[in-house]
Amino acid sequence: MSVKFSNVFYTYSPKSPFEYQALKDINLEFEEGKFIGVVGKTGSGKSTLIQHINALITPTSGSVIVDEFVNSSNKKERTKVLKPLRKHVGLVFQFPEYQLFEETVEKDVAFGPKNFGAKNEEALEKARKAILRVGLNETFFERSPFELSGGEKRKVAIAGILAMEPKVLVVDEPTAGLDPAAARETMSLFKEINKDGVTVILVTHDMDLVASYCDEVVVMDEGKVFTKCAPSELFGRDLTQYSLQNPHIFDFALSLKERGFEIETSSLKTTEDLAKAIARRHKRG
Amino acid sequence: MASITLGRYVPYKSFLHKMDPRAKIFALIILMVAIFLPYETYAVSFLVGGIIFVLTIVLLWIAHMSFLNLLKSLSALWIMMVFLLLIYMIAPRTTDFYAFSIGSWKIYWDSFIEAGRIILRLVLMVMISMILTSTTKPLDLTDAFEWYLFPLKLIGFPSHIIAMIITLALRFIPTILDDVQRIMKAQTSRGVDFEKGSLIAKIKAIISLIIPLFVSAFVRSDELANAMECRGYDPNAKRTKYRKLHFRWWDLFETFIVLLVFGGCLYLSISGFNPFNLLGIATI
Repeated sequence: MSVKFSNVFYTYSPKSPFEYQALKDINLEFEEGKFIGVVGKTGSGKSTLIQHINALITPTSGSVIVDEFVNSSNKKERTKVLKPLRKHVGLVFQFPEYQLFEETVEKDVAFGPKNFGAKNEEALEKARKAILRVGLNETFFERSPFELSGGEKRKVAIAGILAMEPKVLVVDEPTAGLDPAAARETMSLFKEINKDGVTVILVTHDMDLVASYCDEVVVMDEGKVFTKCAPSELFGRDLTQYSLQNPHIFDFALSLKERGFEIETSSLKTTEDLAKAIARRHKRG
Repeated sequence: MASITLGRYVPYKSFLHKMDPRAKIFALIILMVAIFLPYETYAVSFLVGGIIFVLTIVLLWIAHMSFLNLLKSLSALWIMMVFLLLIYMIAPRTTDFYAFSIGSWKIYWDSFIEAGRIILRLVLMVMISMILTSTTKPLDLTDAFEWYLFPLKLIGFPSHIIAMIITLALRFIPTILDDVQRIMKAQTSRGVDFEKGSLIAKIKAIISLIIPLFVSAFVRSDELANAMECRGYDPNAKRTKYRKLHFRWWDLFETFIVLLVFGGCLYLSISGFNPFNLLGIATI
């Protein structure tokens, strides 16, 4: 499923003293099957942008097209029944653990599939699969989501979205507040899901995540798209204006370059890549 | 959602915004009493209601509030109106103005007039309170409230604690509304439909909103209590004020006008004077 924004504007509380234009003329396409990062400082419009994909908000002007679904400021063009769209686009909000409410973990995870018309047994089946997929085991099925640790709650909430089997997965700051190990686990889960053909859109501040996981990155600034490119193209430019920092590995490579140790930086993604690049350079002497 | 945010403080710069909150609270109470005073005849009731209604519309306009939005948020009053009508159709009547009959059951204009009067009073009450809350900062409101509780302080009533509780409650209204929005969005993307669906589906939808809302409210209150204690908050300590309320001459002037309106209403109510009689118009 591809997502296409054309000329999208969005204004919060129009015609009041709180009026605030969050999105200004967004033209953007998220291609199917890609892992795309959306970065930018707080208030740059990232969250507003992704809520359009799920038709949680309607553009003030312009339209967002997700396959055959149209979320447009024009009432005539707009898709009337949004439930199928929401089934196909899974949105994991920031701190999703605050959406849990059922008595047991499996019931909570099954809530989404059930809303989208799955039979009780079928929904529970999907739920169990999703719970195992996020790295929790069978002992969690019957437990109350409220007695879990923060990280486990987060996993349950993510499982709640995965159980809907979305074709586009949008995740807003999924690693915020997680310990490094849990963050790594969560991110590799998203990578796996992406490999199954799901388009993943990751909203984040963390350029390290962008470098290691994303095929493409969209930089937002003051409600506009500043650029959309491959992560390696972005690094090396001056990003301080956008409150963004180069990933650590890239900074490391740059300081090596400064000291006269030339290495190839365009394909750097992970620490291993960096190590290999250094090794290659070393062999060449 | 817009209906919930109605009555939220909006920072314009009208004279209503600049008015002393104590004067505003006083005006609110006095006007409400004036609205609910018993009047001799229906005509006088509606006359007083109408005058206050016009005044309120002017005030709404001054406060930059939209009357249409307000009416929209009061749309639930229709249900109440029908309900009131039904009750007044059964209740004993005081006049003899026959309207129509359903079968052998006679309906009198009385029921409509009574129901209309109550609705008018309610609408006025809501409008006036909305003007107060949307032109006064919550903090100013509690300061004024605390000031009014001053006499009770002398007999050892913990007016500061009460004021603090109110401040906190008001402070958290927008936060909890934001929470509501956030959770609603999260559940909507999990396929919950908060607008349509059967009764059971709706109850289920509300449960998926209420439980997370309570959980986060409890977490928040816990964190807030800890934060206050960490900063050494002592409810019984003697406190000074950072911002002081100032009662200016125009506050006095406005209070005087409100009192004038109230005096007129009180006179009409107590004396049973009917201005329509002077004009020679027969009324009920």
